[in-house]
Amino acid sequence: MKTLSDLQKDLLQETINISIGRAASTFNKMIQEHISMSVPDIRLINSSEALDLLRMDQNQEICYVEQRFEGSYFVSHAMLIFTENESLELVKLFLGSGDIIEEMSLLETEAMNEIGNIILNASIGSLANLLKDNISSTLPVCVKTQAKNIFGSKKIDSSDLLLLILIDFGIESKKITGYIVLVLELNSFDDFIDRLMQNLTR
Amino acid sequence: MPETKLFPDIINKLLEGIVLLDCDKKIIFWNKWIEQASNIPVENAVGKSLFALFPDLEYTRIDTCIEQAIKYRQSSFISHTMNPIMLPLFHFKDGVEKTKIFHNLRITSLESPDSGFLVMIFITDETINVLKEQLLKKRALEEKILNEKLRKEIDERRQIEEKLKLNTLVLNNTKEGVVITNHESIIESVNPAFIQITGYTEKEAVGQHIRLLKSGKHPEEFYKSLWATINAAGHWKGEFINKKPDDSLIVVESTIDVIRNREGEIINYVSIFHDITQRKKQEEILELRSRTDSLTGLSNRRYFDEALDIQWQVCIRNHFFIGIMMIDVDFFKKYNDAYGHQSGDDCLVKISRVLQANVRRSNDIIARYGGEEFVIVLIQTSPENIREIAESIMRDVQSLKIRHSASDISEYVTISMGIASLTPTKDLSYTMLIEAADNALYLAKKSGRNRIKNILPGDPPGL
Repeated sequence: MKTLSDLQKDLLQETINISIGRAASTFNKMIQEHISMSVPDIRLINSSEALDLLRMDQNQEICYVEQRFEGSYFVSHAMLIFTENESLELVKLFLGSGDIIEEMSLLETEAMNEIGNIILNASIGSLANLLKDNISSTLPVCVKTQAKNIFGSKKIDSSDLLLLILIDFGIESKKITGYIVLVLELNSFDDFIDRLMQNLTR
Repeated sequence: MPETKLFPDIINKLLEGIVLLDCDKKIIFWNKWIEQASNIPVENAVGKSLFALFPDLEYTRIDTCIEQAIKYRQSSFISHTMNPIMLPLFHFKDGVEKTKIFHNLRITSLESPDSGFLVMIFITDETINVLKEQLLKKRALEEKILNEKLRKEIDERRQIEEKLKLNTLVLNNTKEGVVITNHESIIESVNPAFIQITGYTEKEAVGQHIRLLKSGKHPEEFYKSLWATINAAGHWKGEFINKKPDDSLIVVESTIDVIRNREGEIINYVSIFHDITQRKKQEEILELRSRTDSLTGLSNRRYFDEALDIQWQVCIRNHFFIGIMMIDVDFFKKYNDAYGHQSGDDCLVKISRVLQANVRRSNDIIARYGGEEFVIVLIQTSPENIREIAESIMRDVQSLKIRHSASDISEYVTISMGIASLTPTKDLSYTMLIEAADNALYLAKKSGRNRIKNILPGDPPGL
């Protein structure tokens, strides 16, 4: 099984950190709240192991925004994941709690969609920058489901090797925590790393 | 090609706006939908940037997304819910702005065979959704408020009912009388103990004002202070004298509590009480018994000491003149021997009545001091007044004409009297005054009985 060297890991971590940091600062400006993001946890795993890394109950109702990014070196499913309640809290934060009721409506789902879009574009954007690659993306989709379905719907062959990048995302004052998950299906793991190394160490 | 001709026709029929930009962000095309919503014909838009066409507004977010589409081929979603400033699009009717169009933007890149990348912006009209949702939310909120209110009411009612069930059980079995009135003191309900204690049936009581029970034994001030306490503290505790239907009086120990609703308005008064009439009577009897002489009904010696102590202090404070009379029945032992104890007792009672008849002020004290010895304390008096009363007593006893054949000095019962009086000061004690009166009595006896010996202030002690 392939593994990441410490150097490769550091490299990726640093890269993702920069992009996530950019997303966070965009957010800060929008909601005037401090946003904390953990250092990315980067692992090479099988897709079946992915869910275990999210500290969520299988049956937890969740709301996530997903975009698919496609470049020459990888295909990525990027997701911003919250529990259903927390996503509602987050949307309230943006829209002002006003007249939002217990459940997310169409309009609130739209808001969630855009929030996810901003973060995910920022995250993948810098990776694309780094690889000097053109990465096309789909439009964001907001999905409400149970935690166990997050990875199941990706049509990822469970034997595929994934680069999972997990970031704890939190707004401390509101007790909202979520995850940014970047699942990279690597066409060729070695190509990907080589390209990254080339561009970083140049 | 037929396709190029067909293509604009189809997109012109779409119910969403489509804008195509080149890599320099210049408009290549926009469809009929936008022509109508912006009131700008496509030929006026082509070749210009969005920012040139709509100069008044900020497009940071839109611009960023267009840039991302051009640079990274990223797709973006921009919602009106998140962005207060969107494109100035309206539903026009006859060229007049009617209503603002709420819209979302989807910005994505498109590969073009001849000129590299294009940016495509889809604009979807969300106005109907917004209005629908506003309406639904309003309804949902109203319903939520209504439901909460209903639920609260149901909860409250259920709690009250449950409490009532328990309360009823307790109330029906307690010995405490319970009466609940409304805020205007009209009786709403009573329990069995109420009926038993007050003598009123439920039918007679319910619907009546609580004053039904009023005995008239309390002054108006009593009720004023009672209501003041209830209104201030929400609670009152004390004793009531109530009247029964047969006009007899009962004493009850009662608590009154205020029941308020959630708005703080008084809705009920609840009074819980028990009958203490018997206890009260018992107490009064005991109290009376403890301080009266059982034969004559005068104060006893113990009460006399207590009362004199109090009055002595009053006289010191107020510089009142005080007088003590010691009275002894002459040859009483002989009377007893001659007529028997029963007659002796009768004689003492008769003399007691004379004393009571002559000394009527409530602060004055008349007591049986010993076997045939009486003592009178006169407060706030004068030497003249004391003498007058003393002489009146002597006369009245004489006019009783109680036969006393064993007397050495008269055929009737006579008395001797010693009087001492002064205005007391702090350095004096009442025992001195009693001693002086005792001495005077001794002198009266010594000098032949049936007389008054009066020691006035300033007379030498031990006289």
